[in-house]
Amino acid sequence: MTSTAHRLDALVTQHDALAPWVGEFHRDALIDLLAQQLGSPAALDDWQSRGDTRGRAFPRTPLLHIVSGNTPHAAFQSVFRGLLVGAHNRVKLPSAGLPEFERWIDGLPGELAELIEVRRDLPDVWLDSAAAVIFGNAATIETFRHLLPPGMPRIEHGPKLSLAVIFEADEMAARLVATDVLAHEQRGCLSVQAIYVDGGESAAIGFAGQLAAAMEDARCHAPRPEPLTLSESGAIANARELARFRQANGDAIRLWESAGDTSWTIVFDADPTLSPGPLNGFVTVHPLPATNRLRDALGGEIAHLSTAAIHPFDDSFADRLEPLMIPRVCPLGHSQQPPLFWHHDGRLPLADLVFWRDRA
Amino acid sequence: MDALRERLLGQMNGTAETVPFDSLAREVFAYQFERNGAYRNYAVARGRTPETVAHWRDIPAIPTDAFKLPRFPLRTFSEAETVKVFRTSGTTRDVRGVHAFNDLRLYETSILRGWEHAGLPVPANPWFLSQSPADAPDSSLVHMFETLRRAHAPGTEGRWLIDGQGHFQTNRLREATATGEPIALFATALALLRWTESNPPLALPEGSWIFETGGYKGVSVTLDKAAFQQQIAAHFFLPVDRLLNEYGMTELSSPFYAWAGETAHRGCPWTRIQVIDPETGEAASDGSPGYLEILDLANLGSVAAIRTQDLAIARGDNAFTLLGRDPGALPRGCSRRSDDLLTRP
Repeated sequence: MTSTAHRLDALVTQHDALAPWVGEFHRDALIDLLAQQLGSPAALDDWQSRGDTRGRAFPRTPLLHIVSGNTPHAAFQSVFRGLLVGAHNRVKLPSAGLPEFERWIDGLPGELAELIEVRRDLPDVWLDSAAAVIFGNAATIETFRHLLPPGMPRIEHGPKLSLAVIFEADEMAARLVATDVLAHEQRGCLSVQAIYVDGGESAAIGFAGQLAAAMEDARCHAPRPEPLTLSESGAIANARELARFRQANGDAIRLWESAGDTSWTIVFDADPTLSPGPLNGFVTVHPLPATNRLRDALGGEIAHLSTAAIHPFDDSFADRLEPLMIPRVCPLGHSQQPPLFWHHDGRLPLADLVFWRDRA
Repeated sequence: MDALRERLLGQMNGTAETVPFDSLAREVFAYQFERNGAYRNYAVARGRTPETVAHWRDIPAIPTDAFKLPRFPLRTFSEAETVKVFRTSGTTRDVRGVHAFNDLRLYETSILRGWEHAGLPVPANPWFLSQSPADAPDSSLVHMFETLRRAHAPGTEGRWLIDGQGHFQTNRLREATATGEPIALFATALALLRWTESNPPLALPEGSWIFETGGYKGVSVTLDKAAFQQQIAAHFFLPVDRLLNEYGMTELSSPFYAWAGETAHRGCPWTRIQVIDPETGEAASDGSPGYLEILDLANLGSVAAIRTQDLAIARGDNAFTLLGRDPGALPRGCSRRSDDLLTRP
């Protein structure tokens, strides 16, 4: 599949399988995407005039994708982009696999299937890849920094965390934020780990109570897909007991928790400092600080922010978060569905996957 | 004079009539409930009071992270009565846990009598791969070493093989081996690994043994416990079963021991353990792993019941097979989580 047109046709045939993971797309949208990120939809096919020279994009190929478990969106999106630019794709899955992604691979027609290799280990022969896209937590990123050859370009995604901001607290907001919290057991960069509520402490506490009902309801309809490991349960139990200790001793903290298990946990904390939690259905609720105090109040973790899901979604509300310089602001309930055109972690994803040659 | 403390000392020293553990444990809980406000508030929040606790297993365990909140001091005495403070290890950026004492007799007696109860060899010729008490005054481990040294080898001052700047005193241990007298080498696992990385193998005299404790997160190699023990034993030319592992923590007063190859760490008679399923908060079923909780009556001045962050399988009421920090659980996904705070460069 040497031409862009041929690749577009092949990807469009996969629309129904891919749209749930990469967002709605059609042929013209993909052409627009190439134009936006590479300057021209033909940038990969021919020499394009660029000021006083001509340039042509070439895919970094073979392209290695290191994808993490339980967040299939990242795997689909990364390979989708690799196919779009014409790379041969080597996909290292987590050791436990990624069933949704593997099912898609199994059903691919030959011309696409031959562009994708999938393994659960990392064979030495893959270390000659032209670039690596890496998704994972801090330990994963660090591991592959050492494992991959020093000269190999790495596009690293993670670890990140996301938050929600509620400007109008109501039951709808509680239901939507429960969706953003519980999707993929909070294991993705786009997972909401903290909620900020406009209107002070009493508004935040009131919303936390509404959220408790929404979380309980959501877990009733969609229980955890698989049991947690002891460490994962233990991290939640430990965080709960520490919150209980602080509440019992007078800190401005309140705890809501599922009974008899660790299905969901909500901790109201008047302290607005943003901190990553133990994941798997654990979220903190805080009063939203004034805009001019946001950066200082949330603290150093804002450097790791990926997405803010806000309710209601309105530019005037989004503008109030500007001091945080968050790469992406989206409507509540959509934190886990980034659009096709998004700047992943503030970058142009397709641009990272090509290199340019000039011809005067 | 604190009557309960004296009675506990009598129990440990074997100079008082034996009191059933359960009765003594509930007495300690009542003592701490009355005097330790932060713990009392937590116990009440858990619905546990001296009136409702019918068995030592019902005594609420406090998470070790609570010792990192100095605004809620976990002690049964006033700050003015404090004679010693031990702090958990950590960098200057980490929040360190604090364990305060108004009397060190229970702590030191537990170390010495616990050593005897475990049937461990007398460390007549000890060397310490650690800083000295003067250089590490808030280290509970160094205090333990010094307690053992004073009791068993009083003429051996100055055998600390890491100086105040953290540098190994490499030649001193080499010289000590020249006498041929068996050595008891006390160290953290991390110090041993760093020693082996930067020094050539050294044959300790026959009959020597090594006391090692703690984890080794942060070193450049990945080793399971058995591989670690083999590496250390080979470096010092010892049989693997001459490595003694101690399980202890700053928040506790009483250690647990296991020789390499043994399947369980054993505690002394004034301790009990429970293994809890963290998903339900209930005791794990027999033979199943869970989170380790320790009840240590020597912790009279703080909190006797401690919830650790280690996984274990119960082997009776005061022994356990240590699994550590869930070795089979790789973090999943690309979400930033609380553990990442610990690995931030």
